[in-house]
Amino acid sequence: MARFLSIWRRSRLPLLVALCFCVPFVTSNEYYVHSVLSKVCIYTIVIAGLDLVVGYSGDVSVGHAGLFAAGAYTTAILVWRLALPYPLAVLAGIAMGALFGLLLGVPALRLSGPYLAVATIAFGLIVQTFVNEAVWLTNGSQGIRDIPPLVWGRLSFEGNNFYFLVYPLMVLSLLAVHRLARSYWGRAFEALRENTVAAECSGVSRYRYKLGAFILSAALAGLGGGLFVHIDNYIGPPTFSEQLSILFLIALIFGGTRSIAGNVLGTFLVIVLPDVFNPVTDYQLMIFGGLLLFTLYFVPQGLAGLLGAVGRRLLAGRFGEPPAAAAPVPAGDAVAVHRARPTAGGALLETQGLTVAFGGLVAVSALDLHLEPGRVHALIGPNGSGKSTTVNLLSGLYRPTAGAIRFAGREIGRLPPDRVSRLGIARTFQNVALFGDMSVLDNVLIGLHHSFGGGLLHVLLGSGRARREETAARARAQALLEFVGLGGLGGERARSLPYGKQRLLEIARALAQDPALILLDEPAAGLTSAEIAAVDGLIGKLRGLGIGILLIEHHMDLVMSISDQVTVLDFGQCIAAGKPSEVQRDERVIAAYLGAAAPAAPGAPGVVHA
Amino acid sequence: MTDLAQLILSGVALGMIYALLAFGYNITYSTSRTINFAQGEFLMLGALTGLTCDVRLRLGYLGALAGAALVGAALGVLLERVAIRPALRTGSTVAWVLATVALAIVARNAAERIWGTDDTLFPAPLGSDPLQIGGVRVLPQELLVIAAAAVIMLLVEAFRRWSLWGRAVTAVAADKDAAALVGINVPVVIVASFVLSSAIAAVSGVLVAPLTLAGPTMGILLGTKAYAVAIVGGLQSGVGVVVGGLLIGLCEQLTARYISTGYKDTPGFVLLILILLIKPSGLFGRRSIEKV
Repeated sequence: MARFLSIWRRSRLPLLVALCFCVPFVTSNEYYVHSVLSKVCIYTIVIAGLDLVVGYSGDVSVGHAGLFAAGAYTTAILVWRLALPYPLAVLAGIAMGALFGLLLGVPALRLSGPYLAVATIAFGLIVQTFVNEAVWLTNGSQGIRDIPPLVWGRLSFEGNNFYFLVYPLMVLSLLAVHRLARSYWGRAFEALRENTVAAECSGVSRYRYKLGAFILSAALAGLGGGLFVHIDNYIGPPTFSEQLSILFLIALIFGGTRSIAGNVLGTFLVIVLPDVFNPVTDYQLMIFGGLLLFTLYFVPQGLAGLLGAVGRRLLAGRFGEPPAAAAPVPAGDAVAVHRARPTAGGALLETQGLTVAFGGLVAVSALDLHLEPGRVHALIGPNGSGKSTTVNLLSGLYRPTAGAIRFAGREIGRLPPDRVSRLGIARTFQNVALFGDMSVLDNVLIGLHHSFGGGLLHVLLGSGRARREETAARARAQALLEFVGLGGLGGERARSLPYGKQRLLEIARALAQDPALILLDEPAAGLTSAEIAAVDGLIGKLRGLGIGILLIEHHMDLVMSISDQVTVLDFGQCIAAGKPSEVQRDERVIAAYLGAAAPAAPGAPGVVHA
Repeated sequence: MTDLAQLILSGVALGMIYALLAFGYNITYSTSRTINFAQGEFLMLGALTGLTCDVRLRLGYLGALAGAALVGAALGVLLERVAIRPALRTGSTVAWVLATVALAIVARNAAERIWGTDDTLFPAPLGSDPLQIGGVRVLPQELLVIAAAAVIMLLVEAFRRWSLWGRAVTAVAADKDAAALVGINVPVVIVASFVLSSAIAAVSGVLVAPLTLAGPTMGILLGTKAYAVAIVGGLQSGVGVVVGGLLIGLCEQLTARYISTGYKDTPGFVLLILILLIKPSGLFGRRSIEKV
């Protein structure tokens, strides 16, 4: 029985794919096969692509009908006016979709916010205007009628046979999207969606991956358009309205984002439902709009998610599913936790006159820091003294107004956070910034983003290199989790970890970046004393690896016991620097913490509460 | 020369309508970081409501404005409740964009069912005979649009700057948590911003309808161009939307006159893309720094 189940589990998907291929042998009804199924295949390609943008990256495109039109018109014009072979014309359609994706994405994805939605709506309307007005090219409102049929010798893709062309292409597209989504690309998309700043500071370029997702999505829309030409051997402007863009979105959300089953299911329903609702066709948009709203808030995982959950519940009682297989990961000892970077001798990081002003407020003023490898440098000071601002400057989130930041001999003051991370500066956040809905292991894998050298093609083709890199990264992520003491928790959702463990996970993610310097922004804030001891031990281990550490902390016992060097800030200015024992005795430090009028208390200022 | 003066005047009138809609985006974006993708549809519903009040119920043009404002305000409450509040709770951009888009198609469909799919003439309150001013033929409605839009924006801006309520809005825009701490009822301020924004959209429908026609599809292009205006001017800038609106209104008239009427809707979108490339925060926007 168990054996039968495992064979069934492995073969059910290929079986389903093969079965669906055979549909035209079972029914020859032209309407169902050609007009419904072939259309479902084409729209599914577009919607799977749209999922990359909406589901994975968390942006919205309301202009996919425009990209779809670009593919369709490019293909149609090339075969009709220039008599180009159809496959070449489709390739050109894909390229045209991707090109428009680039032209739109480059400006619209520079800022986060509603910009992409607005730009794509505008784009969709421009495309519609253009295909209506450029009669010399597109035949205007007449549309393009004389698209030659798809017949090569005895091989014909006309009528129901068209399905044998579009179905395999849909399967391939879905496979490509699936591979991409399960790779480091998909992880990067999700991380950017969950917490853009944390993803960038972990070495993921926001612009590159958001743009990548959008261009790939546009290329798939172009492919869909190129195929759509042969649904009726006719295309005309009314098809490619804003309403089609919205229909794509409805299908995606209704079926369920980030799910191939959802993409197929949603498309199918959106194409079939209007037939079902024929008697109330005048109210179709209201029904669709209502469905969209309802799904958004009451079934956010979509129909596929809902059916999946129901199915699992039914099956669980009957067979007792095997526990979700946690991928076997080799033992941690064999894998190096940290790969040291070759660093030039002398200072690891140096700032000179580092200054940043927000309007009239000077948050950090003429700060000189000197950090060395394998040493802990603490940055302390009362609240609002500019400590976190300094960390944000060093990690590339803010640009200095004046002054220089030199890291391993290189000026980094103007670099974006992902470049800074890649050069070897990792950080943690004062308010823990994890990717809450991703697994603990995936959080660390985002830190290992830099270790993936195989490009997009490797991922899409599922090459050996792509698989090797993934396996190696998983093994290292597991080793890193064990290093920080979270070994058994890789499968948990990061959000569900207790607070103290979340802080440790952040450190693991930072360490994964193979940093030469780690910036720890209040790693012990809000922790119990046992947890503080764990963080203390961990910082010692990091130092042991030769990593330089900049520590911001309010727990003075921790600071004084572990630091090699302390810099004290007050109102953005350095008021003291030196060994912990020297700083503790400094009059100005005591005044900053306890107030000038207070008698100089002997010893450490103690724990200062936020 | 008079030809050009006439173009400029029509451009300004149209531009003021865009500015008015974009001003509405401006208000809601400042309090909730969202914009309403059904704003154009609210304009359309305002125009059609106004038409019913004016022609059917014989309440006159002022009655039409009042009716539209009321319906707009009610739509604002509905929008905030149905589309914005749940999305803000989940913190997802996708949710509020899609929810407002969903409301847009529902609104369009509803309007088709209530008022029919045809475009209707909206009687101009000051008559449709052009006035002759220095040889330039001017439609009285164009002057009315310009004046009314300017008055509405000035009033709202004055309210924002000098009334206690207005300052509460500014406070919420700057920092929700801090605003809540000093006793401002943040959810109410957000609802109010949507009520105001939607009422303005509905009123601009009644203003623009005598120049165009009133019908269920009139809002799509107007609303979309207003996004372009809002972004070109700067999503957070009151001056920006006026300048952006006028700029785009004028460009459209010039395009229609000197290039082709078919392409008259494109300059706004071209400007939008250009601005995003050159100065993504908009002509009058300032780059904001996100606190980590």
